[in-house]
Amino acid sequence: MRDELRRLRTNRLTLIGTTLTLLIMAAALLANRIAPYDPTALNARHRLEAPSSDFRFGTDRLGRDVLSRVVHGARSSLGIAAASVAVSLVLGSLLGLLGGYFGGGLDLIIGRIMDVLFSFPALLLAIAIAAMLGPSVRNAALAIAVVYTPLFARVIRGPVISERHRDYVQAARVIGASHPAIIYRHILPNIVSPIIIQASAALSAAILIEAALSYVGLGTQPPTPSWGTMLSEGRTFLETAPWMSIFPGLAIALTVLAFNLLGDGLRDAFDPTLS
Amino acid sequence: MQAYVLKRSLSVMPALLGVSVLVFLLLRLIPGDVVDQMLGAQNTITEGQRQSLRHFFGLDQPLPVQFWEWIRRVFVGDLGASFRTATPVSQLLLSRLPVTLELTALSMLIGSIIGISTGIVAAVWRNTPLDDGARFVSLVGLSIPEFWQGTMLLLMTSLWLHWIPPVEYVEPWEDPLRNLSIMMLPALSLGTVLAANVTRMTRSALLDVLSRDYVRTARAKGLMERAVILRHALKNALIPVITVSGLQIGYLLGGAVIVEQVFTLPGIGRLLLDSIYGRDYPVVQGAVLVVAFGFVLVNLVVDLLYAVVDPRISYA
Repeated sequence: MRDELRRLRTNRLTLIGTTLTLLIMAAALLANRIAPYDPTALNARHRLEAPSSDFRFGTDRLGRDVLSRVVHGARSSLGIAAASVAVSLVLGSLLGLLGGYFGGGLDLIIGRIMDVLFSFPALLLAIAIAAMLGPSVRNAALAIAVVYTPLFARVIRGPVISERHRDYVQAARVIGASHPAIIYRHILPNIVSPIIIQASAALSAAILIEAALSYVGLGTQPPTPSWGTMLSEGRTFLETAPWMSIFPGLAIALTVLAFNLLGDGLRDAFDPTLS
Repeated sequence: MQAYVLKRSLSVMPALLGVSVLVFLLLRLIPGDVVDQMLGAQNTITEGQRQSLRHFFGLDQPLPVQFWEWIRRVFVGDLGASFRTATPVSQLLLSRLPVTLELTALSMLIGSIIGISTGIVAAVWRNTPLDDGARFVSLVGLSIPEFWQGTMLLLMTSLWLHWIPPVEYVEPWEDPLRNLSIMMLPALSLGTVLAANVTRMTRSALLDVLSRDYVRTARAKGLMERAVILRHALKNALIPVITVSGLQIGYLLGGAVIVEQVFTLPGIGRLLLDSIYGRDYPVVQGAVLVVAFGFVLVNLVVDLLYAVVDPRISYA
């Protein structure tokens, strides 16, 4: 683990990614203190104002401060992404562990179900689920979680199978350790790195999907600020108020870039043969 | 070879069946059935009338029977009719499919051309500023939502070139130039994201091949570097690149849903979103089913092509 951390620290791009990620997370957590205005406060006198010293990112069609909405948008975008990745991580890891460890019919059934979910383009599956469940933050998070569960299950199943046949697992079984004890104490610590790498990749993808869902009206609902809904609102005013579209998009790109840089760095650090 | 094709083709059957079950269930798991969706809260319709409508649609049958009826019709191309317009869903899909396919094909072309050439440059000039630049740009490309890129392309062309693409869609055989001017920006916004992926794959595949013995032999026998790379290394490096690019078609189909919305293109994606807003479930179901089937079949074809292109792969 110490080698991995050293490799993480010495990679410049990873450092940039980590710093950016921490800054964005801090902005999301401290949105109330950082944002200069209330993100939902209407201000008819300042409608569609260009960026100025009063409103650094300009204002939208209802006179709301775009900067404040971008900062608060981080909260909903990161919140949904983190919640959905957490659910898919736990669920997917559990399925991958069970399938890989016990094998046989259980593995076959889990594998086939995951194959079906893999048969849909990720974004399409998320749109279909969110549409059927009805537009809301919770349903968007659920839709993204369903999309990413098979990914975790598949990534984890392989290493579990190879660990299962190792001597130390056989030895643990001979001395009478129970299955849960073997999985928890012996196998889980050995498959942490693929889980971490996959989680960072899934986070950046989840942010993109959340933005797309909100953009088409299936995610965060107005007036709650979210980057996707802001982009969708900005479309009509592209020529008259381009700042409504530019800044939320930049926020998405920067956040996803930060997670991608971090993910690349983690992969290089935990699996140097891939770099 | 034939046995392999047959075996591989049969192996997608469970996935296709699963996809059908999932699409079928998605519609039935939501609260309220089709009749409620159609009639809403109209008070003038009695419960008895609702029940006879349910009977008409076969909704009073057990789920397995309903599924069998549905899948039997799907097999003969009958996906039901739109709630809103009563047009057969298959007819709607067929009229929209060419637009989505054209968008996907153009994006694929743009993505491959940009991606493969940038990937070659990055691998050949490894660890130079050129390589760093290519890697960083491709990472940025992967981080930009394609619908935002589309919006920014629209903004830039209108601000700087004082040009916005025509709004009314024209089919390619009617007016190829006008069609291209409509499709160019959407294809570019989808294609550049793909290019970012292809760049990364080409770079790593080429780097892997360049360290092989046969490349060293080619260099040792005095071949020019250009011939070594283009004739010996690239041919082998491109096999995995082509496969993985093929698998990206699914991603393009998903992305097309949103990009069609940005550029108001009359493709499957926009039909899907319009139908979602209009609660037109037969159309939603049909569109999702067709795209998912297409995705599974494309993956199968790419997989089979892989075996054809690379003679080292055994068909056992």
